[in-house]
Amino acid sequence: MPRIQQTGAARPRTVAVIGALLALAAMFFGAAGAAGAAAPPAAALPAAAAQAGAAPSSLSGKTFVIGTDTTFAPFEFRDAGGELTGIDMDIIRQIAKSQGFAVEIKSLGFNAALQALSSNQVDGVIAGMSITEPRKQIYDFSDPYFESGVQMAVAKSNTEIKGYQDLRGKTVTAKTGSEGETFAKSIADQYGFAVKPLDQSATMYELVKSGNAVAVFDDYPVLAYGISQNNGLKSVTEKEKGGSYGFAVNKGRNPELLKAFNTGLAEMKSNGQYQAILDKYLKDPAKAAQSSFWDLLASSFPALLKGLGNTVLVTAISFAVAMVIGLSMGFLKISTNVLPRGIATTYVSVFRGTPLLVWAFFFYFGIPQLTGQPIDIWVAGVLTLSLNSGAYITEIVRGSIQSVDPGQLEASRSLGLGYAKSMQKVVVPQAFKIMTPSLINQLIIMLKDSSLLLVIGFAELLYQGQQIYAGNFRITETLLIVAVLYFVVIMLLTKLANVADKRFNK
Amino acid sequence: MSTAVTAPSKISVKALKKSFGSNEVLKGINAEVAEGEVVCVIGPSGSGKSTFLRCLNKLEDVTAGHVTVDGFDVTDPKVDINEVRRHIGMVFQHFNLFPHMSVIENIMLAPVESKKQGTAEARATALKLLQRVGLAEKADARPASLSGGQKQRVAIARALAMNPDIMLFDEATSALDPEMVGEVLQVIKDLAGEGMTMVLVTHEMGFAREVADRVLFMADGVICEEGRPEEIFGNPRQQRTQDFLSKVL
Ligand SMILES: Nc1ncnc2c1ncn2[C@@H]1O[C@H](COP(=O)(O)OP(=O)(O)O)[C@@H](O)[C@H]1O
Ligand SMILES: [Mg+2]
Repeated sequence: MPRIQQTGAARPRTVAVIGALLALAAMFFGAAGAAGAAAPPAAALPAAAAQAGAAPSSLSGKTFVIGTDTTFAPFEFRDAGGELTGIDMDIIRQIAKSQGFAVEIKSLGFNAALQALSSNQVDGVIAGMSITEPRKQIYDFSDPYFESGVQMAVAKSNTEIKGYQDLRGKTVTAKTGSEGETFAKSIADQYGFAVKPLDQSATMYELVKSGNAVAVFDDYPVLAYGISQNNGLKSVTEKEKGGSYGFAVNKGRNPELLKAFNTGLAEMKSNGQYQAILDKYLKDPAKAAQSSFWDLLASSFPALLKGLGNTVLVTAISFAVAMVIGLSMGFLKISTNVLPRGIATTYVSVFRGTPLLVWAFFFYFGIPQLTGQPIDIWVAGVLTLSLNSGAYITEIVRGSIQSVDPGQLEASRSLGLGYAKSMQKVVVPQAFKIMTPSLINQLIIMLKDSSLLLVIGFAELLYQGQQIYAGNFRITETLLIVAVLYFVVIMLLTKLANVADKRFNK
Repeated sequence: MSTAVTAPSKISVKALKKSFGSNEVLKGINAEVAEGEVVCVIGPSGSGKSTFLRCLNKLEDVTAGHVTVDGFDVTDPKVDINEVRRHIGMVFQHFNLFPHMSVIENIMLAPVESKKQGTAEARATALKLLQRVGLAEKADARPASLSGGQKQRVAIARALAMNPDIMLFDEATSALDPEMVGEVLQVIKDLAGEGMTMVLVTHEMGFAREVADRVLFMADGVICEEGRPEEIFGNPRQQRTQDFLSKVL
């Protein structure tokens, strides 16, 4: 888990990344704001003072937005029906109920949730997060609600590895930036093994099962839950003593929420609800028997379809916007005037020359820190996809217009039609015919690229797939279903587009 | 038609120069075309014939000099060039029909879009023009389904739809198979017979001789020699004209 190590190493790294993004932004929007925005985001918005003195009772009827991770079973993950569940979810929901407030859970990913907390996009974060000194500088933590620790596991069939001493000359895996990685590295020299860090628990377990690593170091509850879900591993060592997990709010903000959490937690611990939740996920695993592929398909289908719907919708909206951008910029690009041509050329080189992911992060995390205004994930997603694709469409439009025989424009002009009319009636219709295959291609690329939005927690198809295999550890089968869904949709889309092409571009 | 020499000037070109970058293509052209006159421009390839023609309706911006057409100063930057062009029909070597429109839509486009005519009226005019060029039955065909000769006749009908005072032809038959040249020349001849003022760039010397009131021989961006067809073809005075004619005749 990116949990303990994170605050020391990864947070400044994230700030640096955002700083770089902002510097990039400053290039476009003028230099203003870059320096200010690179300052610690926790300093934003003084509004907290107004709420500070409020009594817990004033919470009733209020709704708090709570950020969490996407794939940290058993603390948060999606059940087969796509509902967020897990220890964290049960605890926060139970506390909300007993303390009389409402929560809106945002499943953002661990880093994204912390970013969102810093930029006040969410009121609190519960994400299996260790309470550490560096983090306490930036956030206010609740009383600890879980004691964790690192444990090692190997493939079920492995009889060779019984302890750290058997790891000599071997490779193990651990989650990037996590307590597990820190621990593994701290003993790597002593026992003579190498550490290959990965990003997700589910992929680490696959690595071990495939034999590319012999063992995995992961948080005890995660490992225990995975094993109980038949992930094909077994634990062979006792858990190392580890950190405590806490619920966090931004420093100085939402103190009443924090207070309510502590009160609620204490109540749960004394009335047994707390232990019941732990048992539900760690002692009494839901089912030991692996269900069939068809059960998996049936149970995951609703969640995947929802993801597919979002994928199609965000692609459709983004493509429409990209067409508007591409057509306008394409025309600027063929202008005889330097200024419009310069604008279009700059736009194209910037968005063609930078990765989509950078913009996804920038729009979703960077812009709110620049403006102090949260940005809707759909807006960020559509901006990212359409500005990227618009650059390619600009070039498609330019190329297509320029490939229309210049004699066509001359003939139209010689008849006394103006430039704009001639473009509209004569050149552009022919250019459209030329560009249609490239546009269809661009649309398909965009549909697949939309999967990259999962990094900001946009619930598209691949994201939904990740949510599912993070809970059930059946990566290959889940990804297979996801791939088939993409394939089918793209097939249908291609057919549809070709029919439309034949119809309208006779 | 030779009486046209006394008629008022429809086209007047004075000291026209045109350069593409450092390449001076027209080096000072002076020419007058009277109302109803048919002028043929001949000369070797690359001598600037097309450029000269395209300067008349400002498809090329002139570098220096003056061009007056139908009373409009084409070289005046403030002139409404679209209005000027509605008085000048132009026919291109490669027809340049609009492939995404039917034949009749090709012809109706300019009258309708310039609001000169309503759709119904434009359609009626277009059908009349198609009849005139012998293609009434092709009204709803796509240009791609026509032969070269038919395409060029449609292009002529399209240029006539704005009821121009002047027609410009740039090698209207050069891209045609030999057996189709005749049908196009016949349409042009009929126009000449109706008194249309025309400037034709052509390689059809026999046709020029038959239909022209006057022939301009261009070489290296200047008008090298001009005169009545029987003078130019029967008794050329310039050596260059003689050389050229001995090659093409
Ligand atoms: N758009 C243009 N740009 C540059 N050079 C041109 C252009 N159009 C014509 N020329 C040049 O001008 C000269 C005359 O061309 P043109 O008027 O087409 O000759 P012609 O019609 O007599 O064969 C040629 O050398 C040609 O290369
Ligand atoms: Mg020419």
